[in-house]
Amino acid sequence: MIYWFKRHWQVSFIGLLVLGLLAISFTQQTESQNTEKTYNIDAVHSSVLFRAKHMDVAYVYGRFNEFSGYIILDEADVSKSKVELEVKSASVDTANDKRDQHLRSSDFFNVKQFPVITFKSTNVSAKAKKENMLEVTGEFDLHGVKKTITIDVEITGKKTIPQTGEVIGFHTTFDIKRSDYGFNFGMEGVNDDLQIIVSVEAANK
Amino acid sequence: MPTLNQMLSITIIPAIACGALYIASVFIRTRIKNQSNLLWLTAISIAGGYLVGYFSIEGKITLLPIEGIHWLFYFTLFGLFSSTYWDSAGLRRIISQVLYSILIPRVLLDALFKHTWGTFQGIIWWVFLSVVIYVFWNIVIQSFKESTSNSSIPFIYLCISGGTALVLALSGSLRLAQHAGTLVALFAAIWIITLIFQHRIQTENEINLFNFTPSVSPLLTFLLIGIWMNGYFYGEAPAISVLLLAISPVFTLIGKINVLQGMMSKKPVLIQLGLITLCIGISVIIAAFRSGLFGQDTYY
Repeated sequence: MIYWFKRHWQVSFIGLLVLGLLAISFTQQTESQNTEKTYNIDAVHSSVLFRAKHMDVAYVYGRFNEFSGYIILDEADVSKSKVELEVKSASVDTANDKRDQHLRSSDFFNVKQFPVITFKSTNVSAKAKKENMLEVTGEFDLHGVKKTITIDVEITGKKTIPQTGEVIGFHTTFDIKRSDYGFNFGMEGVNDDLQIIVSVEAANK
Repeated sequence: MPTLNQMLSITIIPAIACGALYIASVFIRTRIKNQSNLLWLTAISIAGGYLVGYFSIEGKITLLPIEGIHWLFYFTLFGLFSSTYWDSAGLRRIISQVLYSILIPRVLLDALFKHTWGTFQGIIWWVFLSVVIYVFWNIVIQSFKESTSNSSIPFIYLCISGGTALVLALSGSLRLAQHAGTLVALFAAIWIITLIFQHRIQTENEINLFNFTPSVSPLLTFLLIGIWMNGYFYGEAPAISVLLLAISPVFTLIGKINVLQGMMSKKPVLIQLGLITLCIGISVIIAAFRSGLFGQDTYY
C-alpha cells in the first residue's frame, strides 16, 4: 500500500486535494444551513389577545394566558422559516369570571372538545418593499375548523440580552369572521368580526 | 340572550311544523286499515319539528360533525330510521338497541376519547354510558306502555325537556338549552293537540291514535341523551341534575310496585306527574345553586 502511494504520489496528492476541497465545501454548506435559528416563545413577555365588538357598540378585549410555540428564522433564506403557535383555549381571560365560563362553554370556544387553538405555517416570505415585514401563510385551527390564512408579521426588534441570550420580537394583527369557524352563537350580542393580536418575544437559547 | 325572533324560530315554528305533521299523521292513520305499519308517523312529526328548530339554532348542517351538538342532527335521522321498523322487528330491534347504545357515546365523546381520557378511563366511561343509554331507552319504552292517559306522555316529556332547558341555561350552555327548548315546544304542541282531538277522532277498529308507541323511543332517547351528554361532558351541567332528569321517567313505572298500587288506583296521573316534577324541580334547583345565580353578580 505504502509502496503504491510512493510510486503514484502525484495521484495521491490530487486525490487528497479533491478530498480537501470536498470537505471545505461540505463545511461551508453546513454553515449555510446553520443560518436557521430556533426561537422559543417566551410566554412571560408575549401576549395573545382578541377583540370583539359588544352589541355593536364598544370593543371588548380578551386574552389567552397559556400558550407556547417556536419560530425558526432563516434570515439568509426567509422561505425556510417556520412558525408554530399553540394556545390553550381554556385559558381565555376577559377579566370577568362569568363571561370567561360562558366563553369556555359549547356556546363559544367549547374548550373541552377543542382544548387547543393552533397556527402552523406552511410558507414564509419577505414582504415586498417593506423592511422587517414577513408574509406568513399557514393553517389556523380554531374550534375544530382548519383554514389557511395569510398574515403580515412585523419583526419588531432583535437584541442580545445577557440573561436570555438572543431575543427577537414579532407582532401581527389579523381579522377573522367567527362564523367561518363555527362560532354562530349570540351574533346579536357579539359581532361576527374578531380581531386577533399576537405579540411575541422569543429567545434563541 | 336569544331575541324574540330567535325564540319564535326555535319554538313556535318547530311547534307548528310538528303539530301539522302530527295532525296529518293522525288523519292518515284513520284512513289506513293496517295502522300498525304507520305507528312511526308520530316519530316523523317530532323529527320534522326538531329539524326545523335545529336549522334555526345552528344555521346549517355540518356534514362531518365537528362539535358534539352537530351529532343531534344525525341522531334525529338515525332515530327516525329506527322508528320505521321498531314496532315490527324483534331481533333487529334488540340488535339496534345494543349497537346504538354502544355507538352513541363513542361518536359523541370522540374528543374526550382522543384528548382527555386514557385507554382504561375511556373504556370505563364507554361501558358505563352504553349501559346507561340502554337502561334509559328501556325506561322510555316502559313509560309509554305504562302511560295512564293519552296526554300524560307528551306532558311528562314536555316537563323533562323543560327541566333540561333550564338546567342547561343555568349552567351556561344557552345553545344546548335552545335545543331542549325546541323539544319543549314540540311536546307542548303534541300535548295540546292530544287534549283537543283525542275524543273527537275515532277509528273503526278503535286503535288509540294518540298513544305513544315504542317506535318513538329511539328518536326520543337519542335526542335527550345527546343533549344531556353534551351538557355534562362538554358543558358545565351538574352531574346530579343530569342524573335526576334521566331517572325522572322511572316514576311512570311506580304503578308496578305492589305496595303503591292501591294508592295509584285513585289518582295515578297526578302521583306520576307529582313525582316526576319533584325530581325535575330538584334537578333545576341544584343547577341554579351551582350557577351562582344566588348572591353573585351575573352581568357581563
